[in-house]
Amino acid sequence: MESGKIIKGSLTTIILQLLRNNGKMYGYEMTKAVREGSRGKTEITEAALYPALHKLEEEGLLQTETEMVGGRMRKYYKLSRQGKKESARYLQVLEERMADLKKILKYRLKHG
Amino acid sequence: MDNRVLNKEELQALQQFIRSRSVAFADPAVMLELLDHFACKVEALMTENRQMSLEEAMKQAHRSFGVKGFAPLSESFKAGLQSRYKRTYSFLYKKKCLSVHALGIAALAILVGQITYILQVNSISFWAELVPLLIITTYATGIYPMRLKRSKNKYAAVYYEAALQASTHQIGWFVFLQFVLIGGVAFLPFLWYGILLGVLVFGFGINLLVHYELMKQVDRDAAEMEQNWRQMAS
Repeated sequence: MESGKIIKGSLTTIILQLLRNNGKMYGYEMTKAVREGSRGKTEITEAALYPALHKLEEEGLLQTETEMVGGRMRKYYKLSRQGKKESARYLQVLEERMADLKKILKYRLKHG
Repeated sequence: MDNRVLNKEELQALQQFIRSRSVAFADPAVMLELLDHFACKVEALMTENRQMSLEEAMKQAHRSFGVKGFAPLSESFKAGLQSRYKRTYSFLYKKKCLSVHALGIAALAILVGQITYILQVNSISFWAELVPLLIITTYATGIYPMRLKRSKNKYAAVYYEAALQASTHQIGWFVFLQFVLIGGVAFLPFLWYGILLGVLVFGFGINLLVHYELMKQVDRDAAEMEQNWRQMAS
């Protein structure tokens, strides 16, 4: 439950990074990548994934293309030029926050 | 182990299942958005358990979407479309304001403003008649054709709906301006009336062009959507 919240908070960065590493991906492939990447410990729901994808598309960070696969239309998402630039920035911000979090978790009050 | 791949009849059963959940998902554009993800899930379940029936796999796959089922995907898709057309509308408005057409419309606006100033027109009845006339013209030339296409196009009605939502919100500005003008009759000088009317005519003229361009964009998107749907159905 708690890990789900952490992942959901970083979903934008995860999507951008997945696309940066894999070129183009479709929705189901992303949910599978998160599940397999976390060795089954983390799942992202469609209810969280698709609004995030649509928002990134709306912001111009993602582009879509459709292909006919297995008798049905499949929508692929890929990074736009702006998305490529932003993905590096998003990753850097997430890494900084993770470093901050580690420091907070180790923090002890100095008495006297 | 080979992956289980759904055949045409099974995909039709999936479409039927999606449709049975809500009429909102029956729209081809929404269906195309949902079908592949749902089909991937069903295929994964049937690959994992070769004995599982299609009906059982569909039920399990649907349950995994959460308590709201397909609704969040469908809503998010429609909201995304609406935002896209709102952005297109704003983009086209700016583009048209900087185009050659804007010069002609500006010349007309200045002419109308000057005539109003020279004739010193500022009665309540004049404004109360003019602005509704502009609204009716906007409706007749931009919004009504879009509504008509929304009701007639069976493949991409959601596209026209989203464009309609995106293009009707500015009618509120016309109504607001009407109240400002009527309210200002008592104290606004004639010169200001001329300027305001000029601005109104300019905005209205640009708006007509934008509606036309937006409609062309939606028609293109709808045609592409229809082609995708027919390709899938064939």
